[in-house]
Amino acid sequence: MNRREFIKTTGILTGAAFISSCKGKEDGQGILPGIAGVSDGIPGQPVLYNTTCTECPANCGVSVKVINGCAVKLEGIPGHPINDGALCARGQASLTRLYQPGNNRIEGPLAKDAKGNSAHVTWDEAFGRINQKLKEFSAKGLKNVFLSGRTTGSFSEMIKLFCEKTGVERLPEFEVYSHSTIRHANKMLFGRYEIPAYKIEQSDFLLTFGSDILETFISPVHYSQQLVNAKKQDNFKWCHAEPHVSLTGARADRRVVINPGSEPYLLTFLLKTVKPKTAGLPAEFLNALPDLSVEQVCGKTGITPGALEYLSNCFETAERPLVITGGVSVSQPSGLQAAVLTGLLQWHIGAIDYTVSFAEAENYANTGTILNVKKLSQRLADGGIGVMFVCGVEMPPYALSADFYFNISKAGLSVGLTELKDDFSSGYDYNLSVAHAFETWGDAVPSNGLVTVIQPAVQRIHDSMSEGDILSALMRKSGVTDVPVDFHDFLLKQWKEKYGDAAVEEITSKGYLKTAVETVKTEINADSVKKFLTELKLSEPMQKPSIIITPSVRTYVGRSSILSLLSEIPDPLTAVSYGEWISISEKDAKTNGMIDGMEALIPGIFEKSGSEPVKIQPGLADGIYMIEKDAFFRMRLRNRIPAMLKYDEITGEILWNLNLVKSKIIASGKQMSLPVLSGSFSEHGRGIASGHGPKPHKTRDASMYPPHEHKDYRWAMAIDLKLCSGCSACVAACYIENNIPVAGKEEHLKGREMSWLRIEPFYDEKGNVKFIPMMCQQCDSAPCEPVCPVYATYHTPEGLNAQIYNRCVGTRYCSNNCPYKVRRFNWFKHDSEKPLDKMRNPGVSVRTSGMMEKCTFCIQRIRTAHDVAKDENRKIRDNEVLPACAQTCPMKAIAFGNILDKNSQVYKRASSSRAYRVFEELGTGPAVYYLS
Amino acid sequence: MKMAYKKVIFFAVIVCYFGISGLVLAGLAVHWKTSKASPEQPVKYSHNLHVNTVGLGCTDCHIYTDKSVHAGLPALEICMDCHSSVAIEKPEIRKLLKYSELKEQVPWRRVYQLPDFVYFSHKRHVKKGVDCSECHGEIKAMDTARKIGSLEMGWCVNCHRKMGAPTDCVTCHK
Repeated sequence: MNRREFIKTTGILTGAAFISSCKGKEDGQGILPGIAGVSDGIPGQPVLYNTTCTECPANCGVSVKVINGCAVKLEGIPGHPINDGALCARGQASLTRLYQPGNNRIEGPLAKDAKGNSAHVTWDEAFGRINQKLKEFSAKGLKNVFLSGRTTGSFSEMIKLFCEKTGVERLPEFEVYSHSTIRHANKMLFGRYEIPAYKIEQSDFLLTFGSDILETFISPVHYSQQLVNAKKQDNFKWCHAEPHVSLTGARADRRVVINPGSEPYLLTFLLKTVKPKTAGLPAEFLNALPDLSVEQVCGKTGITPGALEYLSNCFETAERPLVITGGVSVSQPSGLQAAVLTGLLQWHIGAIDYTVSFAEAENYANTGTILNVKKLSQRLADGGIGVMFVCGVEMPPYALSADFYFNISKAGLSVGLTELKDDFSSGYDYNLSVAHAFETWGDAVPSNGLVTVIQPAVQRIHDSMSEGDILSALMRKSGVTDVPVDFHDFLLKQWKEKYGDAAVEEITSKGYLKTAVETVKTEINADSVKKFLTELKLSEPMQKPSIIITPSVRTYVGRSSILSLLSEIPDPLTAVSYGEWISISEKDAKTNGMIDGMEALIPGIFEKSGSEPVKIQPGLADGIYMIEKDAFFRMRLRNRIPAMLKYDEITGEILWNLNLVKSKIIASGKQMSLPVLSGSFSEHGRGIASGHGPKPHKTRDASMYPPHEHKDYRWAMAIDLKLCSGCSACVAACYIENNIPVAGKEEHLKGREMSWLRIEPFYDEKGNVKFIPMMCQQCDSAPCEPVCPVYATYHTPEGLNAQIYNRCVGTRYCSNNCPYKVRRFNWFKHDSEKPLDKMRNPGVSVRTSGMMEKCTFCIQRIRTAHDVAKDENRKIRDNEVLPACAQTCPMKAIAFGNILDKNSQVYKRASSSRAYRVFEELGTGPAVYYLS
Repeated sequence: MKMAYKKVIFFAVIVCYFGISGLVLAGLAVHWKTSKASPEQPVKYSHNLHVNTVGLGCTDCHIYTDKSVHAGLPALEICMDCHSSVAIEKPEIRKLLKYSELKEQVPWRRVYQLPDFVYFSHKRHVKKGVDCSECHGEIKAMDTARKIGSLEMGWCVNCHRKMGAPTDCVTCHK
């Protein structure tokens, strides 16, 4: 550079500096949102609102933590009869549904013009037009119909009232998991078209067929809690039989792999051989069942005689056995047989009215099946439908009933009551923006004997109304006057009428109300049993290869896939985060010359090039291909596959198990990108999840550094791996509590995930999996601390390995030196899209690019607990502070506390003979104990 | 000689150039700092008048000082408790009444602002008996609120050391 250039450059740079400094800094000078004039509560202090989670039909109780007018976290309501404080990953992530960015949510009522473009209209315009059309079509003799997703409680009553007052026909509701096979079987045997409550905690032996009780089956968090209680009995045993691999199977005491569709054989054998402790089934019924030898059963089902003997022994010794069949075991051609035989077995072993309770049955009273949708589709095609309301039907579009999807436009006027945009909503003539459940009043009746409240926790973000308010406004605008002014008014009347005046206060403050249930004496219908048995011809198991379309712990049936956080969290079994994949067995992979991420084609199904990668699934039976439902729908849409799923014509169950008679998986030879966030499925003899690692060296005792002194507190964690089911609820909770950014697929492919807490699956040679939650171990001699050149990470007096974010200069030495690989580096600043930024927890700073971040046992919660304890001039009590992961764990696997306190739960667990620490031989002295 | 003369001019130009730009930058920095220390408020509020003439205490308006991390900027309702009838003819109070009519909060500008990564609790300090003036100076006597404590780490730590308060990093860094 010569002199002239130097002067020129300096001139330009100085000029630029002046110009940029003239702008001045404005940010941060305004008032904090809500700091002045928050409608309730104290600025900066959390307010809790007890309400109901609506992410799945289980309706767990949640309390919404609101700080400065923004909902920042969801936690289960302690003591709630369904979930007792816990919440699953979907429940945790459902907060992001409330704050979905504007392009996903409908921000106000929309109407389609003649050209098919959507435009905003006023509510009055929309109501006026819809009411006019309602009248017009009824005058023409067309039927106006109302289709909704599963509704319960007062909203269901509201629909009833609306339909009565306006002459609209109410259709059976649609829920993908309608459990119609189970209901159908119970109707046949016991005259009850219902799903009973399964009382797992009262049983001492549980046998489950296909029902994924820890993932999506009816009420997974409730079943998890019950299992924890059941496991407190020493002799409790749980055996899970399934054709594929699931989290539920992985957690069971014994997993039995059976051929798909062979459940009736095993059930028949059990019916014939189990000696009941009570009266049991009459001999004439049992004699009518086909005789099966051990060899026959083992041949058909593919299980070993040893496993059969194990099952027989369990039934022999159990006092209160329980059998549950559901999920993949009923969504196949022999599903109804399996369900009826299960009902008979439940009766035989005396479980009915004891561990199988119809008195507290799950509430699926208004829920129909896919057959009802088919019928509606036909009516639409015939042109017999005027106004069609579609409310809260979250159906994977096109994939389940393509004809219905295309026939929507044949309705005279289609009105969607829509919260988030989906493939359906673009087809409706009117989209009425529905408020999120955390913005409105409502209630739910998940099962007999329980009402839960839905109440507003935050102010509405968009121009939206609750479904109930929309219906009541429609009625009033059409001139009906003898109806409540709004839905809140209607709710109060309903509650007072049903539960009495005093109940209103209880239900809104506690979030739920237990109501009286009538005792039920279930009778078995001898005639229909006889009819069933005489007609019984055990159906042949399905041929292999078969595709099993599995439910997903992350996306349910695809409903939750819009929440990007759930794609960021890897699937616990495969450690794959984003995208779709087909799981195949190790042997199938070998014969086809496939490795992880290689593109697979299944002629007749996925044959377009550029389709789906495979992932080898240890423990999966040969000839079984596993695809998650949500992934299957997306794959199908991409490949434009014609209707393929079949339905059971009697029960209306969707048959998720597909037989591939003439086809099998082949490799295209192309390698695809598959973000697998696990380095290895093998422990490589280091005993990470099994606890049988190398012994520590004696010489490691010597240290260069003086030992740390912990005066009052040494925070520690103890995780019982016998309880951990890998459900990843803790991971979701951690993300939200600590403002962890969602990095996205591209970053994951580069190995730059941001999760502070991860679930690592480790498989043994037999294909059995062990999950281990891995987070910062808060080492006593932390390898990260001495290498930090700027003292940004250090050991606190309370034993935490703290990270001072604004001090960090991003050398990444600490991460390189960490044997647990739990430190995360911000390669970029990850801004969250508006209004998702409202979810930001003010207790944790937002990290920016170039900073290292990690778990510190939710130090903000420890700080809050210190604050409260100081006010009351005492020490922090045991269990007073719970990190987000421990708080939400449905299996209560994580204990946290002060290990210096000999009475603390964590001390007791850590001093158990099962306790070990990961990589103890390195001498890091972790504060996280695992119980193998 | 000619060369030396040229050299002197050259260096003089360089020195002037940097000197002037340095001065301007420094001036701007000082201006920026003072304007930030005492930002212009939408309503000219005087602490002096309310405390020394009217006789109000700090916590009469900043009602959360002993309850939360934030002391709380008073909501308009607190102002209106008195000003719906007191001094309503004054131009500044008229502004206040206008906000009240529009049902809007007064967009007060913050004088004290901590960075996002700092945890600070008014409650802890007030309960310990730290007087408001320790950090906010003689704000009681100010007609326009002005930032006194620098809120820099050294300033905080000095006091923490003096008072025997914890100086562990995570006490304040979040």
